Amino acid sequence: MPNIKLQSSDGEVFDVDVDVAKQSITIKTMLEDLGMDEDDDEAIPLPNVNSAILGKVLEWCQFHKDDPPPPEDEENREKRTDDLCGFDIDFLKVDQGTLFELILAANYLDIKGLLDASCKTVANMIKGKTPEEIRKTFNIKNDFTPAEEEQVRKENSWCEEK
Amino acid sequence: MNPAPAEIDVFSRPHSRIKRLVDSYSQKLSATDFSDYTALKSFLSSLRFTFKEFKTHENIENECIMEKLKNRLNYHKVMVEEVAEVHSDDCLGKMNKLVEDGWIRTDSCSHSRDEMALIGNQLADALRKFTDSFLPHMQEEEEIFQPLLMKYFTYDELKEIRGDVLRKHSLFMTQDWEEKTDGEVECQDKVLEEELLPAKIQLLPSELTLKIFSYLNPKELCQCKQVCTQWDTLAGDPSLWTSLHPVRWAQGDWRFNISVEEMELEEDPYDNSLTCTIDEDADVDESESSGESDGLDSLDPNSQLNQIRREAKMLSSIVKYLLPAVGRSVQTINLSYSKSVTNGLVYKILQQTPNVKHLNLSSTKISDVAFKGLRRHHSCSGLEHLDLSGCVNITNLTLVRFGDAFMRGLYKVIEENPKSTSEFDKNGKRILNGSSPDRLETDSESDSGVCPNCGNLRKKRSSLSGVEEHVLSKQEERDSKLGAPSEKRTLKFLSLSGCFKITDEGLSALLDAGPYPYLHHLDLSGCLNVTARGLSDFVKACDSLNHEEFFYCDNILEGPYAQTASGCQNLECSNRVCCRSGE
Repeated sequence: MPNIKLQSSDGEVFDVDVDVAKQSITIKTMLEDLGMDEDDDEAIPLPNVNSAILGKVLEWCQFHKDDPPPPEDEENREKRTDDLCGFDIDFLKVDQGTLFELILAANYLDIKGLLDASCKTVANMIKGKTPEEIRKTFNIKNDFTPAEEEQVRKENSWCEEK
Repeated sequence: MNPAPAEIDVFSRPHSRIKRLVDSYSQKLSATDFSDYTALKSFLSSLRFTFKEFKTHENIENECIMEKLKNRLNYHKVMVEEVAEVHSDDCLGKMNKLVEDGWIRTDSCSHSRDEMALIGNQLADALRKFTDSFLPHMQEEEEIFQPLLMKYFTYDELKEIRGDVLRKHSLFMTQDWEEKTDGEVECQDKVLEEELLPAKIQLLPSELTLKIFSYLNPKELCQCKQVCTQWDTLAGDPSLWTSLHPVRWAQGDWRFNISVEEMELEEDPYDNSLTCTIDEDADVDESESSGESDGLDSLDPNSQLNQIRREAKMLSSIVKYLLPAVGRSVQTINLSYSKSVTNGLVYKILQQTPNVKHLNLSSTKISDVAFKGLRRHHSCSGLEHLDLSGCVNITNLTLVRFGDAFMRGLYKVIEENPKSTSEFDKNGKRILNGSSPDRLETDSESDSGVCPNCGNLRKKRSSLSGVEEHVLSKQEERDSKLGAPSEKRTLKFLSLSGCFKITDEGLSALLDAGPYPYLHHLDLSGCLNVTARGLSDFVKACDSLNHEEFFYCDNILEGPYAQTASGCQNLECSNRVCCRSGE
């Protein structure tokens, strides 16, 4: 299987199986647009992804290289978050900084499976929590004035179970 | 001047950090003994970082904000002196140079206390002068540029700019930290940084935060809205609220996406014996808020009553707080089996949801007056799925109103289509205004009192038919020219099962807005006052009708497709009307 070279923002070059890299639609399109030759030695620059994150992303792509293409999002399908595979669950047990960088990278590289899995992981960190617990989890500052906070609480109280 | 909403205020957050840094060096300025080499050196090194950050801030501001603002103002040919000259004096660059000079000089001299003090004091003077002009400069940016930005940029553009600015700032901070931890110098305390930086999750572009939120249910989104101002906006984004199932939600089923099949299989969640008084024909008045839960006995501990009370609260809150923000993007409204919904509530819901495609009000007590506002609010014109099964109170008037709404959809196409020739526009308008001045402009108040049997309605309808034909033929003409699909009457599913007050006249009113080329499901089970003739006329206008999804009363003899259509669905049904119900 031919390999291609990918260069991270900090200059590190990764030698990757084409089929692994092509899970990124961005890379796939680049290859097609550039008409890349197999013996082309030039590395594709990925200025938005650093080597640590690119390494993680490629690890994910390597594991999922034989997955069937992801289904299109259907309008009426219930969006589940409890359907992550074991590999993804472990793979995404990382600090928040890394998790968000993976989301940004998956979005930039257009890797739907990784983007979905990482966004679901964050959604799971939100689910079942009170606003205060959510703030704590993500270190978000409460920037409501007391009056605004009271108003927003009132507007959303219809979702309370009582 | 009103302060800018936080999510589009591009200056305040970076400025608040800068002001803290200014405070910090101002304090050190008065507390440092310049004649002491170590103290001076430490002060200078923290100043170097501060000014590096200031310079970066200025660059980000120039690149992300001022360039865009200048271009936009040029485009509008507006000249604003402050904008043209911003940062042109390069105060910051000069000050930065003085700091760097000071840093070098302290090392290249004899380290005598006098010399140190001289360097320190010169710098301190320059710094004070700089600060005196720097603080008003930031204020100027907030007071002059922010309003200009709000005038010439859209809300979304500003949100994007702000996101960009904050991202670049945080990028600088992280890079900067790596350098600092290399150990050259200790600097500002880290706690300060963390306190001022937005949380990492808040730096995600909004489209990605929305993607994360798309996995949350309505209850969870309501929690998110209470976290901070940014999330209040994001979790209330219309794209997240296209489907409303308040009856389900009140029962604890918090899903957004409930398939059509599942909705059809829906069963009455409430005990039928439960009596619940609802003010059925509450006079619809836009200004008056309806007391939805008043009909419930609030002392009864019965859990079903609690559920109904919850549903009532939910509905009124949705109408009051949610729909004003998201109504235009709502496509599905499912109020099937709602015990607490009232005509007033339906009126207000439809008023705010003009683009609804799927409307399910089955087995509710609503009546004609709920739909009084369709025409005025241009609602339901693109409806695809209408389920009124079991709404025993509705009469032909409801169908007249829906017919109007569908027809309104046609007018809308014509009026909104910029490709129409001007001649056609004029023509269409003239005819519309001429023949029926009140049709498009005003909802005739009298029709709420009109009874469905009356010939007045028919006359009114037929007086319009000329207009309609004209419009239709014009429309068809245009469409054939453009080769576009000719239909805006999008209705695919119509159930009036058990609406026994409906007669041929109601169907005919719907027909006036017809044909319905996409209608495949038509349920008129138990509509025992409809005749074979009325049915035949109607189905002629429905080319796509699937005979297996076509139901009507078994007592109608010689009805259309007698061999292939399905019979009445209500024979075995206890809660929808059928001609055999009384037997």
